[in-house]
Amino acid sequence: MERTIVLEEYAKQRSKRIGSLRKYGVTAIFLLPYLLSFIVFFVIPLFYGVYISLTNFQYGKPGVETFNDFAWFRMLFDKTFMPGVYNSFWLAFVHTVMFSVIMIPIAILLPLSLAILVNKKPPGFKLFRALIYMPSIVPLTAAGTIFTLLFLPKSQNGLLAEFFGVEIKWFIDTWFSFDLFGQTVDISYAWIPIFLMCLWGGWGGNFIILSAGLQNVPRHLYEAADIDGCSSFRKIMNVTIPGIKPQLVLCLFTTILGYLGLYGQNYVLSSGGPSIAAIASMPAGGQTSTLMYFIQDIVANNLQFKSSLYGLGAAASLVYALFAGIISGIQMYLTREKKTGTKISEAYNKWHEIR
Amino acid sequence: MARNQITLEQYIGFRKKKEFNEKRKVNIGKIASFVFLLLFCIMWISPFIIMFFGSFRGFTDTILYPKELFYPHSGYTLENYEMLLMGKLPEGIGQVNAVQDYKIGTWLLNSCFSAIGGTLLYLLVASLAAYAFTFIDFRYRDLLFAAIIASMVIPGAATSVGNQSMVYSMGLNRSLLALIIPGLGGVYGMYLIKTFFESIPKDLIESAKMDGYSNFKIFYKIVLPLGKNVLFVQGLFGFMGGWNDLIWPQMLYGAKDTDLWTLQVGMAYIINNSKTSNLIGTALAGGVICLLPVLVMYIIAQDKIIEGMSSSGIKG
Repeated sequence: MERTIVLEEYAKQRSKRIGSLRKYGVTAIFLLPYLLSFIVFFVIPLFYGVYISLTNFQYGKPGVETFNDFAWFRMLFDKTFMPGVYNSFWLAFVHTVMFSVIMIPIAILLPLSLAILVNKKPPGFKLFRALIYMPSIVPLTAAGTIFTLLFLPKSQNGLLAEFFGVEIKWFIDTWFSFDLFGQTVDISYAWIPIFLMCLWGGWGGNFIILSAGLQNVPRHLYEAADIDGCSSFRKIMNVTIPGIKPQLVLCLFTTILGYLGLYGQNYVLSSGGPSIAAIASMPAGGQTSTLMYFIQDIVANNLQFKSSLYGLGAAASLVYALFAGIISGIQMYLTREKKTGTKISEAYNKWHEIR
Repeated sequence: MARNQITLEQYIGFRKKKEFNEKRKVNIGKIASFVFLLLFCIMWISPFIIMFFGSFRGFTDTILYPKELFYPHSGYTLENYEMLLMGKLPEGIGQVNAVQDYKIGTWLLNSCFSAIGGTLLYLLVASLAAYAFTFIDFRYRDLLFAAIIASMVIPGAATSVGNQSMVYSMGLNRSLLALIIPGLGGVYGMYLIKTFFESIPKDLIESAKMDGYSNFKIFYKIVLPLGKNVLFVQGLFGFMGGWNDLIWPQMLYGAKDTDLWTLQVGMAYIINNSKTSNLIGTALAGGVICLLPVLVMYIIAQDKIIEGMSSSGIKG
């Protein structure tokens, strides 16, 4: 049976078709550029990276690789499979963790105490705030020039050597060594310039976030504490710290993530060196290597590693990303918007009305 | 119960005592913090000053009179800048091959292209997407947005190696476009822009639609002017991020492609050179050039940058 279409119906359908085309067309124009780049440069590379880490992929020669029996991951986790790579990777891990353990409390407490001082609103506190944040906008390399000038040896007129007669070769000498799980860990003097550079410009964001948090602590709580006769130290411990807890949590986790990914400072100042004789031919075989330095050494800085160990770089970056992802996942869980008392009661009222 | 109750007299007495003490006590606190902050700031600003003056010190002065930091022995000179920007070697330095590799003009242009071009393009793409996620209804919108937000847990390191090979396969590995295009899918900026767009009253958009405005017209006549501020702040952070980035340009371009390096990659090379030659003055001049755009931007828009930084903490 033939289907007859009335003119009105046809017109209606046509306008509907055009309407939906126009509607979806507009949505597509707004959304597609972003969505396309998100998929092409985030979603696909994520899986591509996993694929690279599971094959003997060679950079610049895609298409000829085969599955390689988790060899890259075995290098990272099996001590006997390839001891050199294993040692240099876990040494980089030890360096990263140790430096973070020293640096993170400083990168929270120093900005916190400065923020408390600025929050007393002394004359010119806005200028102080701007000046304190300033080192944090400085590009790593620009900061690196200053700290290089300070720590150059006497023969090259380093300022510390000239003014204070310090004879240490900062980027060459070993400071001290200790044993860890049967391995000797050498700590280079080069960690001191790196530490100072982080101390100088590594916490400005925390300072701004914490001082914004301090301004939001209700004043009446301080007055109540005054009435109860609290000392200023107890006021800080019992009013200020709980009042800025969300900001503290945020700062703590972003700082952990930041120092877990430490790369620029040790690359610019010491190039990961001085090298360690036993693993000098391995990626990041130096006394100031970090996890990120290990990855970057393979996939970017050393052409030999880039052609022979590319998959190892992908595997190491996945291991690193897993660490970092877990930490930022915890952070997002802790700082998610909580239902406050009013919100819960509102939700209850709504539910009650519906019933 | 009774322990915590205070009578009116007690309270008034307390206020009087407090007001009496307030001026003296608070002033002491203020003065102490002022002095401490002043000392701290002087200490923290001094590296800038050393860098700035050091860059105007001539080559011979740097070697012979290293202690004269602020008043160079033979006066201020532009030697270091001339050497960097024009490749003009000062007298008495001999043959220095490394300086021939210092293509700081090219690196500066590359950095500008990456930071400015990347930021503007990202703002356009991200604000279009934020508009669609806020004001246009389409199926699975909220699900899609939630999925994109959830992806923020995955750190950049997980995708960077894959991205490097993607860029190679697309034939962009010797093109400057590779500096900016992969950044267009960034989530955080889009999320911040969307949070602002949500605060625009829906009625405004509805009534504009009633008046027959198309989505594009609403976008650039109403939403963009309202969101000027947040886009500006986002742009500042985008610029600074692009300008300061070291890792991604290093992954893209190897040691040989010096024409494609950004200023950061080039500066790292210059610093490394200055450790084995006596060219630290040149490195300081490079540092000043590298710092200047960011510093000028910070001085001009300092309020906005600090405000943007603070709000990220309050919301988070």
